[in-house]
Amino acid sequence: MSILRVENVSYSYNQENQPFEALNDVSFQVEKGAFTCILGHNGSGKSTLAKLLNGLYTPTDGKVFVKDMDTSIEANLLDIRRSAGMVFQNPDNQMVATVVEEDVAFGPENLGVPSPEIRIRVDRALSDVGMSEYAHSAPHKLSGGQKQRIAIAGVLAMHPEIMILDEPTAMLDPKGRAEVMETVLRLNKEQGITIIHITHFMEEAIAADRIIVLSEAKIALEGKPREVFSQSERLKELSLSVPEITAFAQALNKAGYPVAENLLTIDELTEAICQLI
Amino acid sequence: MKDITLGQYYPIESPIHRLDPRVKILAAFLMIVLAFIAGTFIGYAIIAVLLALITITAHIPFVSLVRGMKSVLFLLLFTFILNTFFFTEGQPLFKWWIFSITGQGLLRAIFMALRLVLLVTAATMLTLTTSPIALTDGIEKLLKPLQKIGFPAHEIAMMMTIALRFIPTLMEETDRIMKAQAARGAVFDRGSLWRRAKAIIPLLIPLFVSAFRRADELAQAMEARCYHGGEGRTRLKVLKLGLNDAMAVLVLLLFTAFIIADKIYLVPLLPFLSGGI
Amino acid sequence: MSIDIKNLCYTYGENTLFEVAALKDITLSINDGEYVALIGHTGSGKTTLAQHFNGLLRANSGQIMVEGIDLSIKKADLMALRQRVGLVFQYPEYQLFEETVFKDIAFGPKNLGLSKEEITERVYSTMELVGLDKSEAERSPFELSGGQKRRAAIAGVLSMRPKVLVLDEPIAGLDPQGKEEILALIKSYHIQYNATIIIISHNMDDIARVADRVIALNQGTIALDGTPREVFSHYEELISMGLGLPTISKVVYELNKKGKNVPADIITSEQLFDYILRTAKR
Repeated sequence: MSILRVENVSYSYNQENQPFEALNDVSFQVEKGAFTCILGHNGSGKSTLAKLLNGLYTPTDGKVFVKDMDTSIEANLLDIRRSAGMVFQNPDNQMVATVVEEDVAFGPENLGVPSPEIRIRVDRALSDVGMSEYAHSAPHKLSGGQKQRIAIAGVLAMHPEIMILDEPTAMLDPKGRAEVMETVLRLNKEQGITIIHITHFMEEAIAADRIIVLSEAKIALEGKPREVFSQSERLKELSLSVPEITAFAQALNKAGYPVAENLLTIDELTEAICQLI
Repeated sequence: MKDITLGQYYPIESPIHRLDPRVKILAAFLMIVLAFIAGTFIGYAIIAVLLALITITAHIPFVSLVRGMKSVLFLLLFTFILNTFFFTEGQPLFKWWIFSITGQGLLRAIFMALRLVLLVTAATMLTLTTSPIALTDGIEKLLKPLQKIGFPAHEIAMMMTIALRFIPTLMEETDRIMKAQAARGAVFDRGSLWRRAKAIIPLLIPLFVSAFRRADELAQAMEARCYHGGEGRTRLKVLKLGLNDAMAVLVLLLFTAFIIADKIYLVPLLPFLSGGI
Repeated sequence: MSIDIKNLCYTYGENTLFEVAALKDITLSINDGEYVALIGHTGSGKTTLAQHFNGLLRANSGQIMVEGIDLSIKKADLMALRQRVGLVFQYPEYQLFEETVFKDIAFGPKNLGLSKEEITERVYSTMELVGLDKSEAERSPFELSGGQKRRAAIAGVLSMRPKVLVLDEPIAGLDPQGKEEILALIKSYHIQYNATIIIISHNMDDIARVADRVIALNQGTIALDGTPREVFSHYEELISMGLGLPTISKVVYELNKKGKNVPADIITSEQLFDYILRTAKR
């Protein structure tokens, strides 16, 4: 059952009086509960795609359906955005309030949720992201990873079925990145939230159910992580890299060792090398 | 630096701190009005007693009040001197060239100066005992009835909240940009006024550009969380008037009665105490 | 000696309520032409230390000598220091302000008092160094793409021809291709001008490849100092300091946990590959 449908979507806008095509005839579907990763170098169209998914942008051609609701119909937008929450790249520029719990409450407040219910949702959301003890902190005192987890909590408080994350880790240090990825993966596994994760970090796509690679406004590659990462030549052409583990496995394989080309994790590589030495 | 909040909020627990912000805002207003209608020094003494009572109940150290006075010291001095030299009714006590100081003039000057002290103290008490968020909430609630005639109370409150939220962030950014430009040889603290004004451009332009970018991103993030203005919005915390608030109002009314009594009965009896007004 | 520091201490908000000891008793020397990576958990003092190198922050105690300038003297010549030590901040594109790319890159040289001809030469040669085409010179810096903006901002520091180049997370927020481009231009500058490079980064895989030396800060003190191979072989210590490891180091760690006895100082793919070549059972 497709919870999200992108049908022949194109998006262009004017840049210095020239039409620039950010997306050209992109189509795909996302199943409920899936963890989909959208990869692409900067400028490939992935950020534009993110904003088309929740109606912040409307396609210049084609349609986007969230839970069968057309994003180009204004009356649908509130429903669409409640169902498909979005976490943005800059941890600072999505926090509105001076106190963490008030920021998490922002979404439910906008939806007109009754006050006692908001309290319950805020407490639950903060607990889900592991930030309950920071409920009364000021946002500017938090680390990048913590701020992003608050942003995720703010989305969770709206009880979405889908969460779209637009390069949420791009501005974080490795610790923050790990915190965010751990939270997102857990929410997907434990609460069945459909995740659409947009990034340029190959390593983050390893745990995905499906990867879509964008390049020059089109879908260039698609498939399960192992399928996509085994195509190292093609990925290089697309200005992307292969995760270091996979690249190493491929090098060993090429040199004639009995090592599978499509290894993804440290454990898998360790196992394979153990057989060799 | 990051811990400086507007208006020197003194964050402790006290019966005054716990009062509804609306009551405190109106109380401050009332005291300011009383400072103007009080007829005699005795009236001022009554207001001073009220302020002292509030200070003690709020557990605010006297030093904080004095610090608040520092900012208006110049104005205080100016008022005093102006009134001393330009109000020349009655017998001159002291004469020099074209300036003369009279007994009445001196009295009036003291009266005016005292009024200023009371005004500033009342305002300072408000900001010392009410957090910026509480103030914003209180102002929004008080101005809400004006929305019926088109006054954007919600929007103004939202703007204030966002401004408060970003002040520490913008201060950090200013520091960063200053350092970055200083690293390229920019000098901010030397030279003529003109030179310094020019030197600010490499600081101001990046700040402005950044502020616009932030506003853009924040607007998108707010929309993504279903923000659509004040219509139908609920709140996490609802301001509720309690017994303490009722008692505070009673105390205020009592003191107001004293002031009015003083004005009506004592002024005609003790004109020399009325500062010549 | 490029940088010579003895017992440096720095405390934020000294003698106020908000006192925070950021650097405690730092002693280190960095030689001409070294490529040093400064690593440490967030808040360990890396950025604070970096800002001492060009005099933006002044130590509370201890001696610090940078490029021949003694910073313990109150009246140290900061302008001369800022010519010799260039500091590129995180997300440097946020400091662009001029009407044209040319003028922005010329800002530093102008502040140094160079002649018009010298400035023009500097700007164009630096643009070439960072890979910006001459045709971009008259455009507004705000019209450039993200990657170009960063290069223009770095150019704004390189145009001062610093002998020591300090970069605070220069590849933050960049995609793989952008990252390679920036690392390459830092390498060019390093080689072309025999400059001392000090780079603050969290990316251990990159550091393993490019740095000559790694200094690890932990809560304001120096915990480790050595070549990348030496430093990254201290797995447990690095993990306890909240730091990451190069991916290959993690693999080696796992292999050794299974009793395989792989040398702990293998940190890159090439090194591990060579090792397997030599020791594989065939």
